[in-house]
Amino acid sequence: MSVDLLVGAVAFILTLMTLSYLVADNPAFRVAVHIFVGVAAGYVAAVAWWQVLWPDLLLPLANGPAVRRAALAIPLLLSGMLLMKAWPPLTRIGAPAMALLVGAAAAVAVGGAVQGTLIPQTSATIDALGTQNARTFEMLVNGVLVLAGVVSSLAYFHFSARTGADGSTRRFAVLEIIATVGSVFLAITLGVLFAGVYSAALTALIERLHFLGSFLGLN
Amino acid sequence: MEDTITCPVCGETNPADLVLCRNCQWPLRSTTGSEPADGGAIRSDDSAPQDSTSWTAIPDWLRDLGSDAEQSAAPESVIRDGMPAGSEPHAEEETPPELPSRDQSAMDEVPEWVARIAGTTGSDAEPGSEIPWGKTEARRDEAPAGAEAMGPTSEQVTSGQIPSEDEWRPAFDESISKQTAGPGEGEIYEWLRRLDASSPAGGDVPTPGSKPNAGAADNRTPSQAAPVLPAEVIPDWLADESMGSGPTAQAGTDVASGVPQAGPPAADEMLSDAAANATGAKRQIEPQQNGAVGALPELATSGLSGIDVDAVVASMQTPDWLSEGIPRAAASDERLPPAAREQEPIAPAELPSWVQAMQPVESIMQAASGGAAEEAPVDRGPLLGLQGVLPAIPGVGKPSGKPQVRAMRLEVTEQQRARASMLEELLVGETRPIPLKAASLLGSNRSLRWALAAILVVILGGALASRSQSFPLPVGIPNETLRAIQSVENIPPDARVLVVFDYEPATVGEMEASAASLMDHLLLLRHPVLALISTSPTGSVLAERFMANTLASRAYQPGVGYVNLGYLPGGLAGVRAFARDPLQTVPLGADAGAAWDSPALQSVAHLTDFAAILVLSDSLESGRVWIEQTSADRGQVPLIVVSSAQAGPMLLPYAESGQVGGLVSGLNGAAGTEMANGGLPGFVRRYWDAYSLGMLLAACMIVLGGAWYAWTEIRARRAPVGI
Repeated sequence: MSVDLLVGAVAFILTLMTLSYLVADNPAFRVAVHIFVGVAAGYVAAVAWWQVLWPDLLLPLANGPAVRRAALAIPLLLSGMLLMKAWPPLTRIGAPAMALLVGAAAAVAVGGAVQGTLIPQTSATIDALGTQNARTFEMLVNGVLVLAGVVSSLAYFHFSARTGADGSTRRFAVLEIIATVGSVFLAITLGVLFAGVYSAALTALIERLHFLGSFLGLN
Repeated sequence: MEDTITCPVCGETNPADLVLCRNCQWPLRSTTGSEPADGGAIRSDDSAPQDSTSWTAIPDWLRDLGSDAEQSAAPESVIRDGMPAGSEPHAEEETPPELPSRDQSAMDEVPEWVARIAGTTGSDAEPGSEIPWGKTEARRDEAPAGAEAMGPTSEQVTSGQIPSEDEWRPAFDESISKQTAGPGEGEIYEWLRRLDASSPAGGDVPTPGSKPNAGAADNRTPSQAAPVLPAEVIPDWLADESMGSGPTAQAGTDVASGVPQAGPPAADEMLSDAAANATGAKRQIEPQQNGAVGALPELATSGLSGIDVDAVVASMQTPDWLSEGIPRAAASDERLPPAAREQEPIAPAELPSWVQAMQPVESIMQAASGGAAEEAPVDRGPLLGLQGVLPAIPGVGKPSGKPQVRAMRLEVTEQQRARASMLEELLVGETRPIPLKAASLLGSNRSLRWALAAILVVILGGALASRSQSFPLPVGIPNETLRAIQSVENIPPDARVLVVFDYEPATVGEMEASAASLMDHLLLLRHPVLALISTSPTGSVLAERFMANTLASRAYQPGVGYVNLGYLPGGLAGVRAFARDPLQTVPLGADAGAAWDSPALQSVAHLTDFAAILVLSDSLESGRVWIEQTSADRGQVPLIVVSSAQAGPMLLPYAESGQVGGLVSGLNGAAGTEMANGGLPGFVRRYWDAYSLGMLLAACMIVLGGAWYAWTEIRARRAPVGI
């Protein structure tokens, strides 16, 4: 028996065990899930060790120059502090490392979002009706739809309201109309997202069925 | 007008409008009609003396006794304010004529019977008439000489100079021996010793804290007769009373029953009985039964006309607080207006029924009367130490949580009852929840789930197995896909291309099918050198799988055709660092070799050294991270995204805005690239029929499910709703 056949047989069995969830939650499905989680965790640990910790931290600390060793002492110390989060009495020790981690990640995320999403997307929306993008009627309609969709969707998330004489709270009439239009765009967007999720799942199912058929020689 | 009332039991200061003490729930006002008009409230006053000799400390039982005595036409000639004539207090010395208003109000609370008794003490005074101070003095002068030695005078009491027993008892004994002719000296001492023995205080002048031995007096029998007091020691009023005051005699029969009429009863027995009746009157008699009314007048029935009983009583049993308080009342009575000194009995206050219902004391007293707990001594308040004075009912003399709830029953007619029942039924019917018929949830139906799964598997499997190509590939190619193809075609030959594998193993089937045609198109046309990297730990192995299986036809070899840089840790921060300095961020490849020193990547030092960046992402987050974090460092390097169908719609704005050089989303987008690639490698075509059938089946199931749900909803609404 070749390795490919063995690997294919294991994959075939695991696929069947996973698809058995269509019938009901059963031990076969749970076994497959546990195997997957265990293998994935082991593989991630191996990757973290062989591709991160050993070549980027421990090896330079052992063989690197003094300057690099000193520089790597900081992440080594922070890593050790972060490990203290595993013991509740020593959780406070890991707080500085966690604070640095969260703070740096938040700063990078906000900076990237502003520079890579907020400003470019706002500029693109403004330019939707520009001469560059509205050269044809179709492009003009597309630009109007984009502009209307963005504005109305943003208006939908504007929740400020006034209290009327009868005690009811309502948004401004104009804002209410725009928000209603925005809800239509949001509904269409959610429908597209659902279709995309279904399409992705359907493609994955087709691929697995194709694999099963190929393993069995049906395709 | 006073605004606070002091509870006689616990001493708690209560607002004047309260009926019950807020601390111990003791009734601050008695419901009996013999109480004064102000309810008999014992009012507090900071200026008033707070000691036990204050008039305000007179318990209710004594007031009731006074009322009863009044009803029984008690003799008014001897006892004035409960004091013997011989020991008549110096009223004018104790209470100056100009009393403060507080004292005046306290005097207003003096029961009328006390006032009447005080008014009739003198032989020449009319009942209720004002007694001039001079006459009081004169009458005091007429008191026996030995009376001063019979006990502490009110003056002494008032001044706090209460003589001890050793001081006044010899004089008292001497006086008794002088006044009594019948009994001998030994007999006098004998009954005094008994009296001392019967008193818990050992014969001391009783104080409010002490308690008369009522129980002992109640248990006495005529056979236990003590030395008989001679007739000389009996005051005149007792002698008059013994002549037969009808109501008094009848009222006192329960006490005097069994007492031999032939001879005088024992003096200590009578005194004990009187004290017992006086102190226990409140608990022993019912409101209409004035058994204790004749407690003091009962002495008269014993025929003790020859003994100055009032002096004996005053000296032996009258508490010091009573000795002080009553003369004040007498003095105040003299200054009362004539209308206030009328001898008309105080009309019983007619309390509303709801007020009576709010007083749980009487019911508790009736229910628990005669219990063994009555003998428990009082442990607080002005009656501290007294035994049997107040009904020792559990919970009455102690603070309780809340008043007992008393049921009130309305008298309603049958018609009213029927209407109330109807109204109650209506209200219950309005508030009764109507069970709604729960709509059947399609998702929770196991058989339906099995049916749908079976349909999908059968249809898709059949389409794959049959290798049918009934559904043609889409004719039009989306604009973003076209731009992706153009971007790939614009890559220079043999250039370095960075390929990011940011998807999970679960989406391998879709991602490989979506990216295969574009990658094949790129490798086929430009033969670039690929640098593979992933922000997912499993990405590097998926990259190897992609190159080894999906693009196996291109025969790209690791280290030559491509370099696997492996895992890029740090998430978006790692991407940011890699965009700024790829060599420092990922110095080694997946195989721990010097990736950047290999001939394939020797010319790459920055991100802009790549001809294109191709991101294969199955999620919005990973795709957006690469778009955002590399926007400042990639320059004019095109970034092409191949995404899953579920992330495509969210990444489309980046393609429309030009931030992304092209977007291939899912199998639908891959269809265009595969067509542009001449149908290679053919994954899309292989899956397309099954994919199209699956989409069509999904649409049909959604429509049919919606129609079924609408029909069931309409049918449920048409069904009559029963209450």
